[in-house]
Amino acid sequence: MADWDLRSDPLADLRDGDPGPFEAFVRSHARVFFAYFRRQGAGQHRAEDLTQDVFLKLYHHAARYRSEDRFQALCFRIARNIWIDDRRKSSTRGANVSIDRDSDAESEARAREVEDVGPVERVSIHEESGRLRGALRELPEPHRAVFELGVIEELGYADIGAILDIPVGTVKSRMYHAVRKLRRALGEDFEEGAA
Amino acid sequence: MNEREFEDLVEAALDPSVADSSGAQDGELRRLRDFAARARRAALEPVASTDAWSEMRESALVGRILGRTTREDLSWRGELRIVASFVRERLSASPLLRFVAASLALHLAAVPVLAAWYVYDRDEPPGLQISIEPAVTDSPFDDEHEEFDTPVVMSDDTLDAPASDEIENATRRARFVLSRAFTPGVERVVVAESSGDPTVALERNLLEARSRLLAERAWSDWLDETERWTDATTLARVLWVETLLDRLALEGVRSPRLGPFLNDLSLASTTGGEASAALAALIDLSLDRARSYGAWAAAADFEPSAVPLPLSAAWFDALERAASSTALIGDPAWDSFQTWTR
Repeated sequence: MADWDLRSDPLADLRDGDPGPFEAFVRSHARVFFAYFRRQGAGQHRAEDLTQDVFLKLYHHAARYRSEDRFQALCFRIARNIWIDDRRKSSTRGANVSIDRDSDAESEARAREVEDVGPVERVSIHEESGRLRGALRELPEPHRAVFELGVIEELGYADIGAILDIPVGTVKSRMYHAVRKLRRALGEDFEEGAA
Repeated sequence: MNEREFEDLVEAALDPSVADSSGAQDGELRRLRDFAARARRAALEPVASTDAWSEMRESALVGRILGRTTREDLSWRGELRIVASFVRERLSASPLLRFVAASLALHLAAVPVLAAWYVYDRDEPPGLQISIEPAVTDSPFDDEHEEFDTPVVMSDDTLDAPASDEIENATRRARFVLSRAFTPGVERVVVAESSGDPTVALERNLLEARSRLLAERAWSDWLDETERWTDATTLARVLWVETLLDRLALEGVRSPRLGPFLNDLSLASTTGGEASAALAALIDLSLDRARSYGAWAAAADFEPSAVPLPLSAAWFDALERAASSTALIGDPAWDSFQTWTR
């Protein structure tokens, strides 16, 4: 499982009186949480506010932080709880992932900068990305949450279980079903499919 | 492969520590990893490429976060930021509050516009006008002031007494004259009991008493008694009343005998002849003087200011004519009194 490339635990350093690593973490990962909330369906301003709330909670959690806690898992657990609380407060926000469809056309230029592929392949990638995002929005929320934390945020199953407060076995099962549904949306499937 | 095996395969595909080549399912493993990469790219792509979230906004967000955490401003600016943040959160959470805030802002913005329209829409050009207003002469407290300052004049014998201020003025004028009536350095009238004609003994005593009052403010108590009044001549009674009026003007003391004596004087009859006419004139002068002091009834058209001052030339002339047939004229007391007062 990929983990954030952090030199040290920012909260542990903050607890010990060194705010530098925490400040560096804010600068480097504000975009991560912003993207997370945007994927959940938050508007731009709301996503900024929720991102700020994540870091504020982390900052105020430093005093009771235990070094054995997985920092990355803690961050996403806080982010998810903030999102759930925000959804409860606002009935106008949907639970589904609502990637801004209007930005799909603008993302094509970004895609060209990222991947050095031909125009035919670019169209194909763009279309596939659209189908994937659509399929992701259609996933049931429990499956989507596991898929986002595991695939997009690259958290380990143990961390996902801790964040969502579910057993690791449940994480594995939901991840399998999410991957299968999304692959089928792309016309793929497991070889020797069993279920 | 059953479902559990596929679950393990997916877990392995998402675990970067697991190598691609791991046996029979390495092909599927690579496909799953490829799929995960594509899914990650598809999910991150719109957010990463959106122009709305520029580096400037990201920098601003980072600044806000640090401003409320490791670089929190504990001064009044920090407090202001907290308040502003709270207001912003409240406004973003409540559409009704946003409407109220917008309405308030609109009204506040309209105030100067309305004020300018009101000022410049008038026919008269607006401007600052400076003027000096005359002082208010009528004070609401004037009546009370006059009421407290005006002395209460109570006269048993006055029915239509002159105005209190006229009485005060008349009294003040008499006081002024009487205070300067005698000549400094000249001995006042001193009458010995056995000196002079006994028929004018009372007149001499009255002159002496009057001079003692004018010079020393000393009062002869017998003047408040009626023992010698009963048998006194009209001329003596005039001198007696004049002395009582002197005391009223000088000291404000009214003798209890003044009213009855004035009444007797007013009823005194005079026979014909020059002396009688002069005596009648003396009586009138005394009564007018009493009226001017508010000690005797006066007609409605009575003018206190018209009454001659005491010890006037007219009074001395009238007295000489009235006393021409008596032993008073030529008496040392009379000569001394004239010398002392003129």
